[in-house]
Amino acid sequence: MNYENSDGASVYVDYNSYDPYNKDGRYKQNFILKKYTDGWKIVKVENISIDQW
Amino acid sequence: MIGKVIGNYKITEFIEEGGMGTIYKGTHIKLERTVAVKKLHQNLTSNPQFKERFLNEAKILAKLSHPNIINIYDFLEDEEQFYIVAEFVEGKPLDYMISNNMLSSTEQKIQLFKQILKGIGYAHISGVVHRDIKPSNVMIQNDEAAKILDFGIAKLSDSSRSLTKTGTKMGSLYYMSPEQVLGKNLDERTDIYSLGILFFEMLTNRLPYNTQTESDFELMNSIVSQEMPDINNLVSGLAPNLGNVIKKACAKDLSERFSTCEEFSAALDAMGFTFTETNTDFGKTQFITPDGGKNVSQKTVFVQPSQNTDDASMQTNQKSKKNGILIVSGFLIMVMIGFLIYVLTSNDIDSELNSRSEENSTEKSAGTNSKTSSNSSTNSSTDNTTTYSSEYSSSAALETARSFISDLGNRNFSSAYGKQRNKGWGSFDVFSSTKSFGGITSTNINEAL
Repeated sequence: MNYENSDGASVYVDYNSYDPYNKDGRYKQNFILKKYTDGWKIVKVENISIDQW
Repeated sequence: MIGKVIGNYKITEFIEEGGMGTIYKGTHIKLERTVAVKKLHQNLTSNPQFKERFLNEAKILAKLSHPNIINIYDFLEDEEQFYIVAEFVEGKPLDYMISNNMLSSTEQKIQLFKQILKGIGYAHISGVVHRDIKPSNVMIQNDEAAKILDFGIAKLSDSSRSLTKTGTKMGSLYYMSPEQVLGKNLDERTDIYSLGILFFEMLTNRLPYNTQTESDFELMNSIVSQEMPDINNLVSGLAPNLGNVIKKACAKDLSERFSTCEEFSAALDAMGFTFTETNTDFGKTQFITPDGGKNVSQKTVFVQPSQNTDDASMQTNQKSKKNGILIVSGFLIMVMIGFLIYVLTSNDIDSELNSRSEENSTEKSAGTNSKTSSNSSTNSSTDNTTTYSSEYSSSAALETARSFISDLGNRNFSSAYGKQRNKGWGSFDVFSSTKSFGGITSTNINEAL
């Protein structure tokens, strides 16, 4: 978690994705989230690094 | 393949490798007519869905006859290979012309674009939606006639079958409409959107959204939710309404777009442009670039022809200026009042915050672990950011991110997007019908979120 406040948050994510139609890859991203009345939503994805193979 | 005879056609030259097939130049043996021969990729012939799509392309094209649409001459099957024989177009693809700054004036761009509108408009009247409009699918002949190619993924409007739900990305993402990205049903207005993006690119030499990303996810999000930049802020000297015309064509909401190509074309006609080229620097259009305009790629000037239009425009501008002055004055007064209130009350807020802070530290030291930073209304005007350490891993925001990745890995798009439902992301039922992420079959989180 990068930060969280009353109406927004930023979460650092690091995951591998296995995608037969494109390329497999390791994605490091920041998910920017916003708090709505019915919960948190991801509103933006910032790429930090993408290694595809 | 070169020299091979298929039906009445002799293959003479390789042209290019396309998304669905290889394109060759050929000659009709008896008529000596030059043709383009498209051969379906060998690795696709075993797939009945691709074969069907290939057949579909031939049938659709055969129904269309228009000067701005490539003509189809024949459809052939030979040694379990499929071929479409079509009109051979001498010219250059529009994407090549855009990237090489070969479109010299705004007038030329609009004239070419209106030909494209005519061709697609005709296809729409014939019940065909192209669904893959992009510059590389438009050839500009040497006589400046535009020819639209590749109706390969087009779908007859009255067809109940959907041929794009194959889990692969159809069309070029940059030109995809929000409803295509969301996997909704498409109609002619999808083409109107793509035409708007194509026109935007023709006029600005760039695409409206960030193309430097490697993430389809991010680009799709922009298409669905990000406001399109105003072309008039990117290119100076364009008629002010041109930006509005493009914005209307590219409205996120289908119902706000032009409903036909004729309407789109009429909106351009209604602006009544005349175009003049100038040899002086004064008055030329300068493309605004990130380097502050040092790399000026194209220069044109736009002139509105009608004096009446100018007068009306000036009156509107004067009215807008007056309104603007009133708004600015009102804003300044509000800022001053706000400042006075702040000065008068700041001591009280400070003391309140101090007392809250003391309360929080007391609670934490007592082991209550309460998350006042997320819910407190008083700290929103101050630094209300809390950095979470692993002890807060149960945060709802973290849980959202974690479950989103997890759902993607399980191919549970319905669930992944359902949890992200808001105006920008669309609803889960439409997201679930499109494999927006290509074919992700699994994901694993490398580090604990």
